[in-house]
Amino acid sequence: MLRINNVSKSFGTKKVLDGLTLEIHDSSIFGLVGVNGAGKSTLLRSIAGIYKCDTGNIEFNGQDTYLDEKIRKHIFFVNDDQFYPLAANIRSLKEFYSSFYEIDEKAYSEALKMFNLEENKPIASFSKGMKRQTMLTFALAIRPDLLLLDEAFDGLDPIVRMNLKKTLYEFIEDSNSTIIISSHNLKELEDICDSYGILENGKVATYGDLLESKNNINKYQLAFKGEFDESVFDKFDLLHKSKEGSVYTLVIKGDRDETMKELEKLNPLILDTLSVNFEELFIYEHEGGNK
Amino acid sequence: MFSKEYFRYLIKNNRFLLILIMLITLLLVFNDGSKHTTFMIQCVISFGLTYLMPVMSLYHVHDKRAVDTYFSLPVSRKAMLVTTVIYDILTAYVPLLISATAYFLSGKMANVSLLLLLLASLVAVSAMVVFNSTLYLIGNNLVDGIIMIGAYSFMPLALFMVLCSFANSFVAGMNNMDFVPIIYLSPIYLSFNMIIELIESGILLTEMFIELFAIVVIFGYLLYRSYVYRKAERASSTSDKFYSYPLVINVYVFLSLLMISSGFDYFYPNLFEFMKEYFILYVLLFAIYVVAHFIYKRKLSVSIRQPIFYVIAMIIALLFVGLWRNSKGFNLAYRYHQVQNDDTVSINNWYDDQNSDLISYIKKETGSERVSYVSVNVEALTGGRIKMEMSDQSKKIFEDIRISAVDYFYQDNSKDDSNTIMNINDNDKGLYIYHFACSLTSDQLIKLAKDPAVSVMIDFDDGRYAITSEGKMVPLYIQESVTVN
Repeated sequence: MLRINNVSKSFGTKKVLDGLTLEIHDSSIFGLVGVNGAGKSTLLRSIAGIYKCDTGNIEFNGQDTYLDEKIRKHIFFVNDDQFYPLAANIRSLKEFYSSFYEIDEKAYSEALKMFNLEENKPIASFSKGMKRQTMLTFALAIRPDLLLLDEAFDGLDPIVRMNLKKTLYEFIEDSNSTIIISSHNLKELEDICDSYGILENGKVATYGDLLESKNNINKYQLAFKGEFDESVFDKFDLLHKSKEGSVYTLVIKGDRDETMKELEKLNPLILDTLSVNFEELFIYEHEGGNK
Repeated sequence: MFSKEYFRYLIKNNRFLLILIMLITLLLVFNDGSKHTTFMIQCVISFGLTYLMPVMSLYHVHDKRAVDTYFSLPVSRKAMLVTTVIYDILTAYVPLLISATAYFLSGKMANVSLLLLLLASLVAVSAMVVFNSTLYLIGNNLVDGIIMIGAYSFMPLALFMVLCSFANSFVAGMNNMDFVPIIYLSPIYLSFNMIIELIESGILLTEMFIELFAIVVIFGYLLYRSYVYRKAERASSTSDKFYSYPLVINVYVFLSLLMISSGFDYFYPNLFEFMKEYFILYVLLFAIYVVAHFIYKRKLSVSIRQPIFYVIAMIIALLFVGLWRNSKGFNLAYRYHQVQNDDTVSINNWYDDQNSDLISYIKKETGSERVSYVSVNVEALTGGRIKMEMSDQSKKIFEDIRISAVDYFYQDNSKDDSNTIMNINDNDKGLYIYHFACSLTSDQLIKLAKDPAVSVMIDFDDGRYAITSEGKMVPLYIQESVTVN
């Protein structure tokens, strides 16, 4: 289990993480989302033991990830802009990583095949997507207990993205590992994540089971005859409200059936309900948080 | 504390460089030239490697992407640093070890204890690696790291040069720049001097060895703090720690201002004339100051603080010159050196003052009517093959003359009527040269001539005369009269 306890991190006068607390259970794929500068990469780097937290600590399986280098053998971090030694190719990079981690040769070969990568070609000649695939190859070959992927889907074509998602699923099923993925591509995250956390102002604004949260936030469309007093909506946990003609669109947090019952009491001419996707969930949570 | 895996990786990853170094080492070992020279070439290569290796192997702390990779590895920072430093030291040291052993076994360096040479080389290489690594980590990126190595390595020399220049400008008699102290301020000078002395004379300069060992301990601790507690977010950012660019730029600018301001001595106390003459230099230095800030910030940032600091530093430098001058070089000229009995002293004094006591004395002693130009040469012959010491009376006369020379130095510079050069060679401190105006009296010369360690000679129109211990003038060389028809 990954436990993040009251973590704060500042860069100069800018506080990026502010007393952040979060728990992520094993065998889950956790989607980390937030607007630009919300602190996603800082959080991942802190989990990886690269940044020292100003306050609080981060424990994975009970060990501090910054202080205890042994636990980092079970953690692998793929950042959005990876470092490659001068004139490195995949083979020399394998030499590097095999000095510190145990490499699963079968998984390594399969990943190379899946991404269609040549071992002896200089990495400098690779496209951004191929570089990303190279690091994902090692992530899959090292088979860490905690895999941290920063902007994992950037630069990957749709087929590779689909293959990667499938591989990550299989990896979780086989290994009981945890994956944390930060991405702006919420559609991709929605396909793969079972849990999520939204970072806002250095804290976790919302987190939990993705499906549960999506069920808990619903979009309702209603229309009324004549003038209507909008103040009746105040009793709902309203995340979003818009009106087009006489049709209101409301995004309400709460049990769907109970909310429907309450809305029916308002005698609308039309009442319809739609489920939200992860992107809408993020946008409405973000809007709700800013209100 | 040591990561075998990381060490193995470093060797594997740099195998081509290591093979190249070994090839050069073997070529030098089997070279036919002088063994001392080839060993010194090996030293130059190894000491060069003590600069190159830290730059290469600690590069990861300066690169934003590399620091993510390295600091997330399952190796403690302590182990990573120790492994890197040991690897760097060995890369620079092993070629020296091979060369020294090969030369020793071939009997070409029989006067040197091999064990001592290996130990001294190891301490020298370790000190250099640790020192350069610490300086490299002052910066937050590759370029700044290299600049910091250069800036800090050169800083003691720059400081020393400015002090010497100041001393030469403002301390009467001080004309020589003694570079000996700089050796003790720089590990590279220390290392070379210690090794050269060891292979040439077989003697280990213990004070240098101890200082290099102290560098290993002190800078080792600083390097440890700097690496293990380093914030990863410093990578690829501007080097804005107090002891990086802010200190380096301000120290160098202030030293340069002191150098320029030393010219004020010539114009003293006319500040306006001085500023008129040196204005361009001040503007040029300010431009360099702005460029240095550009390199520091990687952007053109002219803030009001820069000219304010510059002007304040300029004023402080000028005040320092004024203070230095008014206090007569902080009284150093009077205190630093006094004439000793075993100093070699020579005075050359010319004049043609017909009313002077000396010309009257010459006319009386020689009966010459024509004494239009006189050159007096006094020498205390203490530095010859036969060791002599001058008398206390001679010493006092010379010291009185020296004091008058010092007083003359701190008079108004615009009045240049000097007619005398006095050289004092102190066996320990070196040569002092004074230019001043004076009229040696017959009394002084007669008293000096009584001392067997001092010779007094007078040249004038008739030829060259010496003053005997009885105070008589005897001819040494008579100028033949030339009659013009």
